[in-house]
Amino acid sequence: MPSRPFRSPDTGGALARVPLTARGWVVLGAVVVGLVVGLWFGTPSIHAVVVPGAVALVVAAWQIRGLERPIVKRAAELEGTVGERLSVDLVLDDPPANLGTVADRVPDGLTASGNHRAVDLGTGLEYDLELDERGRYRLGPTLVEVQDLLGLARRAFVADGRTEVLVRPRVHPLRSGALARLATRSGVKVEPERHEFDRLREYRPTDSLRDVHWKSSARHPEVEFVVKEFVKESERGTVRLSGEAVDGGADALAEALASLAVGLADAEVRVGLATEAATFEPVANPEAVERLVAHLATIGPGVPRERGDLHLVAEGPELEAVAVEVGDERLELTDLVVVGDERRTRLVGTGPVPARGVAD
Amino acid sequence: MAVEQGRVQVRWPLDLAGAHRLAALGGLGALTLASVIVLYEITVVLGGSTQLLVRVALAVALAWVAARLLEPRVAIAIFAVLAIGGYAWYFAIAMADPLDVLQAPIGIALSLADDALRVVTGLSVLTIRATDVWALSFAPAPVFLTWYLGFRRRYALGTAIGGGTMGLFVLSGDLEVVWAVVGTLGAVVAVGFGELELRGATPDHAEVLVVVVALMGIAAAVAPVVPGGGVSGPIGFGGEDIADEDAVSLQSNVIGADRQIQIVGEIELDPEVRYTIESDEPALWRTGVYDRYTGDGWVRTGTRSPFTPTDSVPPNATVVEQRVRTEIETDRLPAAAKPLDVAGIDGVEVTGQDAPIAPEPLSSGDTYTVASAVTSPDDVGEWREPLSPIQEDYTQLPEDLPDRLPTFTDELLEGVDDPLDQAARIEEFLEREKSYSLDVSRPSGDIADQFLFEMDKGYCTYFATTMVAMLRSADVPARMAVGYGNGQQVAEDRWVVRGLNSHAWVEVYHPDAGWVAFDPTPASPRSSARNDQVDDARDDDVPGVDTDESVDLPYDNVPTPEEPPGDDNDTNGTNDTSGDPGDDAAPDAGATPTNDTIPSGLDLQDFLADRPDGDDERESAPPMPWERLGLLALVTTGAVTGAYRLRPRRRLRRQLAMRWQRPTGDPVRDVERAQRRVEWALGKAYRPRRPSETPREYRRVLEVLGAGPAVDRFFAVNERVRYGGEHDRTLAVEAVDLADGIVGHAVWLGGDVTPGWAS
Repeated sequence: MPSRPFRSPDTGGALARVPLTARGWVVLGAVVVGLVVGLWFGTPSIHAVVVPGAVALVVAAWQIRGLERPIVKRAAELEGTVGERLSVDLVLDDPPANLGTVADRVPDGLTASGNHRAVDLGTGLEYDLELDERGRYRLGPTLVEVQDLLGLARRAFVADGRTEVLVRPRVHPLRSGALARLATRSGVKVEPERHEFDRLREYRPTDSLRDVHWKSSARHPEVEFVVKEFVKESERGTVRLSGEAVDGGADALAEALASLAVGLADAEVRVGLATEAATFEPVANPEAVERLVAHLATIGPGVPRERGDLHLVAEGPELEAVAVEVGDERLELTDLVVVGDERRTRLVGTGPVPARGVAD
Repeated sequence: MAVEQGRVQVRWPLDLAGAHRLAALGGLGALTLASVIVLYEITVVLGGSTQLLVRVALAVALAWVAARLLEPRVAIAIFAVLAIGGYAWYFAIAMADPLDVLQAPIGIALSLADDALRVVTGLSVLTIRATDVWALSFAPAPVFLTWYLGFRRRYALGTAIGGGTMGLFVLSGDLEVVWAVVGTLGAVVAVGFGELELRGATPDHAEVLVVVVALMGIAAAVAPVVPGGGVSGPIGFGGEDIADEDAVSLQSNVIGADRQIQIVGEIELDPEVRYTIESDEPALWRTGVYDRYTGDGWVRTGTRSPFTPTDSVPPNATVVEQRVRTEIETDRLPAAAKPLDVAGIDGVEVTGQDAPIAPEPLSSGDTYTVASAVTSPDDVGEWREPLSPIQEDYTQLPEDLPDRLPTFTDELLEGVDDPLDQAARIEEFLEREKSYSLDVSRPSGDIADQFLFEMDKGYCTYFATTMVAMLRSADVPARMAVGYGNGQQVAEDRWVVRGLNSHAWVEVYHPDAGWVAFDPTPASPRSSARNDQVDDARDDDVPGVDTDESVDLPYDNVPTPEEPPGDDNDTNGTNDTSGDPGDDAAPDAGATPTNDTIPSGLDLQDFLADRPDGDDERESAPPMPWERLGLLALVTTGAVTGAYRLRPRRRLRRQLAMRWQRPTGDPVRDVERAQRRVEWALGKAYRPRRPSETPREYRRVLEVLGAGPAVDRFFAVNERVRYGGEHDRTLAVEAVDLADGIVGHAVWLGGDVTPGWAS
């Protein structure tokens, strides 16, 4: 369902401020016409229409009386990768026992389905969000229309809560020989691929829940949880990435840099990054790499302040138009990265994201 | 049935949304029924009821198919075709010549608009020409559109269409109050449950909706706020709603140009003088004619047209000149039938049955003159020939007329072939068998049937109605005429006509003579009743009871020694014992063949006793007060639902049960209960778990929404105990502790189960 234009509730003339819907006006009209006709012509059955109509209006007024602006509870942040589909959940705090309509504003670059829906306000709204383009977005504010059971009267509120959405660029896998190819040129040590983490240990309160290894936890009931511990910084080399893009090439550049950064980090190479906007010192732990990828979500066209070991130049919107400059050499990105195989495209950081507080 | 989580769950054929949809469609059904019932009753009176039901059923079936296959645009096209095609068909049949439609489209449109205006201002749709054809042509289009929209889940729009249709019949006054309530509540149910289905709402709302609907029904039953509506007691939920709505409806029909007569019970007539008539002969001063018998009243069909004077006098008719002076304001023009010319009023119109009507009400003191051709039945020759379609309109009878009336009429008329002879025999029979009284209570059921078989006495409307029904059952074209009896004779050629002279009689069709009048009401008791009333009114000094001419004369005065000529007609009849020449010298019993008397063996009671079964006496048992039962059911449903919804004790127990829990020692039971408490608390703090969500999905959502690690830990423990098989008391105690904490935060602190306060 395409999102309808987001109407501001408190506009219009005096009539528009009467909290009746079109349906409510029809019922009110029927009641008034019925009264007039009944007085005029003495129509015998008219009160069978007029009385229930009046009751409906009274009940409607009663059901939407004394409402205050509802508070929407929602995740403060959501993350995902281009092409991914997320579920957004909106819950009204202390919801009125009413039916209503909830509409969440969704910016361009994201496609929402069902973000404007008639709902039971008690159960809130859940909708799908398709992440079309990388970037940082804000969902909300939320239009909450509270109505009576029959939809005769309605009051609208704008609830302020927002959800920040980070959409990371896609990450494509490295070609099998890519590391070797780079190693000869930039001193990358190539080791056989090994498991992501080293060992399991018991949960400590400071640990992130994401690091809990559920399978092992279930196998070891004697401890609370088992946590995977990652390899300490190893000496498998360091690569500084940098990149520049012409106008319209930033998406390609971001995808290319993200692919290389993640691919290298997976091989436990310390990765640094320089873009037109910021410079990151080489790091090894996966969360730091995620930060690099998150940064790549927002880069624009332009030239970095520093030039790294691998300097990428995006000359067009296609990944095929990205060149990799290593020293004096110039490679195609497609020499290093498998492009266009959607099945092998990795989504970084899927799964639940630990909430960092609740925005109201 | 599906086994899930170790428990057997009964899978209902409908989920909640399905139940909501079923209820919404049921409401739409009640709404449709309320409209169709009116059309059905019309077709029961006029014929075609089966065809109507078939058409409605087909329209619903077509809507069901269309809702599946066709876009709204196509459906609206189908609706237009049904509506326009229906009306074209109606016109083709209702108009004498379909070419008229092409030649005078504006006139047709005006007459359509005229019909519509009349109907919305409270005139029965029965007054529309060819109502039966109209009912059949009108029904399918709105039914189709209503149900198309309903099947497409556009309940509100569908309700608007169906409600508009029902509204038409409410405005026309054709819809009984009970059905109007049923239809209105149906509309509410359709819209309300439609909203619930659309929103996947919880059952709470359905409970509220049921209470609201019950409230509406009760309010409609006990609060007739609109004047004119439901005058007597709780609107139509009583037994005798419209019976005494207008105790003077006979008179008002005679005064005003009403299109309907509702036959009522006891009436009192008004002694005020209405007209002074100068005439060569006394006559029945006719003001209106009704052609359509509905079983409980009469309706006049057709539209008014300008009066065209004629000088073609039927053979054997006498021309009678009358000069009428009005003593009240009225638009009715009493005149002997059949008027040839009217002078003194501009723009005189006639009804579809040739009764003149003034275009504007005349004021008191206006005069006009009428020349009429009066035919006496004994002056008309033999007649036997097939009926023309026009005459067939005058043999209409309600479909539900009990067949004992035609059967009895057959026996009564055995051996009598000439229609006018048949009329005379029926007239004689009624005069002999039934006595005259204004003090009767209106029977329920068909008036003619009830008067003939169940009542001993009645007044003119009952006599005339019954006689028309009997004639029609013998295929003799007949109709109901209303107007005034002769009145008080104040000079040789002058009569003073009062409200209490209001009268109803019968006209029988004869191809040569036209309409011939018969009066089955016993004249003598009628006349003495009037005499008494005038005397009483004079004693009470009722204003307007006399004119200067009449004031000094007794009501039954015979002013001159010579008999008034009109009285000649009375000499043969059984009613000629009154010595009352001043009243009702109708050309009534003149044709009664004295040698051809009523079969001596024929007796009403014997006839009824010979009937095999009580089929005919459908009304003799007191009518089932099902309206009351319906109201009672509504009240009970509302009260029970309301009580269930509030259920204060259960609420309190639940509140307590959710807040405190003492470990029982059975880990699984404890953890299960702890889970219920936690989900209840989380439902308050965040949102309830949706029926479609697994606990795991719910937990993920809570995590996104920011529920703390205690919640997470609780679910982990829960999984371990309930699905991991670790029936460990320590874990159960931990689960209960965690639940206490979560519930405490959610309920006592009124807020989020935020991170950082536990574990």
